[in-house]
Amino acid sequence: MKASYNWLREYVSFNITPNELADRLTMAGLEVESMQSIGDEIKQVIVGKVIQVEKHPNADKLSLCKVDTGSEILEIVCGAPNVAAGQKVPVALCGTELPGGLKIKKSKIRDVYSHGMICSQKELGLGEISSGIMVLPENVNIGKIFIDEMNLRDTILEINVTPNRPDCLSIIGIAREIACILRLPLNIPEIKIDEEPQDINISVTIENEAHYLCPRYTARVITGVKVSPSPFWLEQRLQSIGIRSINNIVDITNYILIEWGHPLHAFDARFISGNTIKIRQAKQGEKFETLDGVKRELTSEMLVIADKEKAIALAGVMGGGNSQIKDDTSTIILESAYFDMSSIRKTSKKLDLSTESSYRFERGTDINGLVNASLYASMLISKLADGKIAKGMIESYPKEFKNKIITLRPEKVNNILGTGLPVSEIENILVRLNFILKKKDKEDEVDFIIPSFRHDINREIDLIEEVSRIYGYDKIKVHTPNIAISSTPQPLSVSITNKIKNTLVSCGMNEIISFSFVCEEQFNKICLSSDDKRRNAVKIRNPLTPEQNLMRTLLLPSLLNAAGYNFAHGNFNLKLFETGRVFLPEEGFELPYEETYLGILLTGNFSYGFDNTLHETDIYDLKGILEILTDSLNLDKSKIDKYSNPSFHPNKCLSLINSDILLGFGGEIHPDVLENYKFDHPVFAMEISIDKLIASLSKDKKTFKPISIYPSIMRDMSLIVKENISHEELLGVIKESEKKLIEEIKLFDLYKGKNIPAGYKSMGYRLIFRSFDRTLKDEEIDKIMQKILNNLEQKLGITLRK
Amino acid sequence: MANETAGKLDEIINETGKAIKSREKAGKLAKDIIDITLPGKKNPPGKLHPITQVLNETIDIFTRLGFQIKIGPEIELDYYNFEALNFPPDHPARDMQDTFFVDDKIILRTHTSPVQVRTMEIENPPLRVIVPGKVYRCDSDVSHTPMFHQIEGFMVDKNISFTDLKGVLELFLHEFFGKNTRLRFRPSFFPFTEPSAEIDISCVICGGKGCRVCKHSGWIEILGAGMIDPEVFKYVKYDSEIYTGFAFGIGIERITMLKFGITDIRLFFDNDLRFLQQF
Ligand SMILES: [Zn+2]
Repeated sequence: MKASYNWLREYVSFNITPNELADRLTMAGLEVESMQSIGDEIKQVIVGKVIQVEKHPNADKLSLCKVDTGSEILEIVCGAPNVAAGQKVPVALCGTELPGGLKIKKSKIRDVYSHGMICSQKELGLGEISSGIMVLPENVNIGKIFIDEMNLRDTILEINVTPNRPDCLSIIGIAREIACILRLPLNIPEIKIDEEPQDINISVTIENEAHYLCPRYTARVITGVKVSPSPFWLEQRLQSIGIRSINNIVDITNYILIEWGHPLHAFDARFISGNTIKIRQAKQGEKFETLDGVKRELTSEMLVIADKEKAIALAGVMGGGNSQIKDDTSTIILESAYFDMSSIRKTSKKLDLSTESSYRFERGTDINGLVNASLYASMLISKLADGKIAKGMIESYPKEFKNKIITLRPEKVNNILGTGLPVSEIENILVRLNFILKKKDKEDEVDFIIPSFRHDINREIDLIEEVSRIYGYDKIKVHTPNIAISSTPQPLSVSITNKIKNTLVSCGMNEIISFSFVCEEQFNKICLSSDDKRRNAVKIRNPLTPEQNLMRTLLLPSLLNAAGYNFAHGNFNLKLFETGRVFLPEEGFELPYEETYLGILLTGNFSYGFDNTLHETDIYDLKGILEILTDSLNLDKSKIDKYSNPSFHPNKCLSLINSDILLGFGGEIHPDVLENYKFDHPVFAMEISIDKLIASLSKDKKTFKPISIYPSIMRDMSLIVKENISHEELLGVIKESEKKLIEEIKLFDLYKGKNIPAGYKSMGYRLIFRSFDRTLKDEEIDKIMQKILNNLEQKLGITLRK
Repeated sequence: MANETAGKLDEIINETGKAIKSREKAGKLAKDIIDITLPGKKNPPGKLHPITQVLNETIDIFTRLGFQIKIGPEIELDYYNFEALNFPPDHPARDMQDTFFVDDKIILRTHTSPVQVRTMEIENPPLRVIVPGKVYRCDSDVSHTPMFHQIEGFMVDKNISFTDLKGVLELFLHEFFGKNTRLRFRPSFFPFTEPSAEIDISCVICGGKGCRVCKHSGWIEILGAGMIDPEVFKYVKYDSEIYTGFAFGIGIERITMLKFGITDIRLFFDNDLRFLQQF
């Protein structure tokens, strides 16, 4: 809501600066979001007097004027037809810059020098009129600053009015707050109208067929209206808060809307058939063209204002083109009504049509205030458009509004706020807010009658809020609650996720966070098979973009998108992870199952220090991270196995399994997927369900294993192994050969190529032997080694490398 | 005598040998030079996302005050996200939060406040709870993303008043932004709290003198809070004559941006390594 400082001062005579006012309003709950000074941009323009007008020697349509600027007489060329000697006018001297960027300088116009410019309203940014120069009233002083002489200096406050305070969507509403805050009276002017002898009931009748949606409807009839441009003050007022001037009638209804907060509507009586205003629900499918020229199809729950034949307005939202004020309108029917809030909101939402009017009606207008708004508008129309006001007001008001009465316990006020306010202060605040105090017999309770404009006050707590807001939050003390000691562990989902994150960070991985949105296209890009149930995603009805219309069912697209973003920005070496939920619709449940997943992505080259060769990421780096993870979580039953999934390389895909439960899978991204993403380097990725992982966590406590006090013996062996024999098979044979004394088996070398026969690989193992009860002898280890080598040769055809 | 001489000779030879050796050693050590400016060898650790770091810091402060962590669904029923938080259907208050809809009854949660209701439905006071999590609003520009993070906190007990709300939030904000941070509590409106407050801190950039970040007001809006509305208690069958409480909501992206001087919220979700590694 935009409010003019000057306009507000017409209703409360406060003496504080705009900044102070903004601060006081903000601290009372009417947050001033921004302020704009008006007039600053034309503060160089001065008042001049035209003392002589002659024809320009070389141009028919131009005049050569002598203008008195107080200090000198200037020759100025002027093209406006309305310029005349004796006028006081705004003059932009050379060197002045006008709004819109026009710089005034001494210039030759058709061989004659012009020393400045006489300005039109439009040139000054003060209105739409550009057809002639602005002629100022007689009482302004020559040579003085134009905006000061015209009282145009103002500050516009942009106030964030919260949805509970529709009563502050008006100048008078905000003035009422200021009056309360500053303990000043609110000056509402007396409204006096001269009614014509002719009774209104002769010219129009009301038929209210939907009073549950329109509890009160009033209309006045004004005849003999002359539609014309508004006077400068009215145009200027509206302009200052961003409303374009149309004509005096439309401007007056807009003016009342802003000043009184009550939307009015003016119909041209010529187009009301049968002199009847009918308030009814629309017919299902009824067609109606609103003022903005849009043809709309209505539904039966919408409320329309109609005449005998047709709808003439979409009640409370927008008028119809068929009955709008035209230049030759002479009789108007002025509507001032109260409509049901939720009905207006439904209509406005359904038609996607929000107006200043619907905005106020859906929040709640003042059912009692609408009469004065209508009167004040009528008065202005009679003043500014020569209107004659017919006697009386027609009205449909079947059930009179009853003010709410709310009981307040001052003790409760102090309990909720933690204050010690005396009853008198509480009462004083509420009375200043126009709540009417009604003392009761009970000492500890007070009743308040709530004015009709306060839709938000319905309960005791609402009154308590009012007290706190006007008393001032800054005056309420700070207290640290008396907190009982408690010890509840964090949820596992939080603590385990944190542990996982910290482990991965120590592995050199960077955490990413992606939006939870995906789209069908992304499922295709990762080659998700057509029957994969993860294609069944929750769909968003109103996505921001079509690419964000589904809630993700897996993390892989997020990971690949992050990689793609980094590749595009020159970051090719990535170790990334993300934890986040995926959303899996479940048959028979209202809400999808939300499962927390961990996603890992590796790609590029890494090195340890400066003299180390670059290591290109491979599948074993991914496996290594999994091993660190399962070890740090003590997942001792977990196993990494082969897996197959269309997003991944058929031979380089693995799964993480714990006691037969698949925790997750991943591997090297399939070349087809890489192609879809236009990646030209191998990328490795994995997804693991943190929820399943938590469910698999071992409940066993870690127990201490004794450490042997005897020395160990170490033996290395280099083996020539057939390519199809796995490390695990090999380990099996070694462990089978010696079940007691082997402490550790470590693969330290794996080599294929030169000096190794085709179809074979060389594998270097280090074996460490140790006993718990004695010092081992070399001879017995020699024997064991021989047994191991024999078994390897017999069972797997493995030989020592020579 | 000869023995004695020989003994001395040995000693001399020994000494000389030692001296030569130590001189040799010294020479060797002197030649063994390094460039101390070369980078150290390491597998550098990664970084937690700045949002996670700030979430952790915030959670840490509140858990030290005895708050428990609760979590809830991100795809939520309208009932928990709005209705039970006293946002009536067809009420303009719903416009305060641009909502993503799945259907008429199911939405993406616009705040983590629904967990307030879910918790109070199954647990009795006293309660001290924080709810970290992702929330969604259909909005996107320099200061809005369709997904962001929030921590909702609430406390319910006998005799909780607005002064306690001020106390707890002052404790948090002083810990997070520093003891010299000035606070401003001002009235606002949220359907599920009454009285409601918006809390500003003195601008962390200019210290309150006025700058671009604080729009020359010297204040920065940091969180919303209020006393839990009795209407919400009605939904969870708490007696508001016995229990009172307060609730607050903190936008994590916002405080992270202020903490690190980040000016574009979208950077958080681009996941550019050059951004992530700075924190
Ligand atoms: Zn600042």
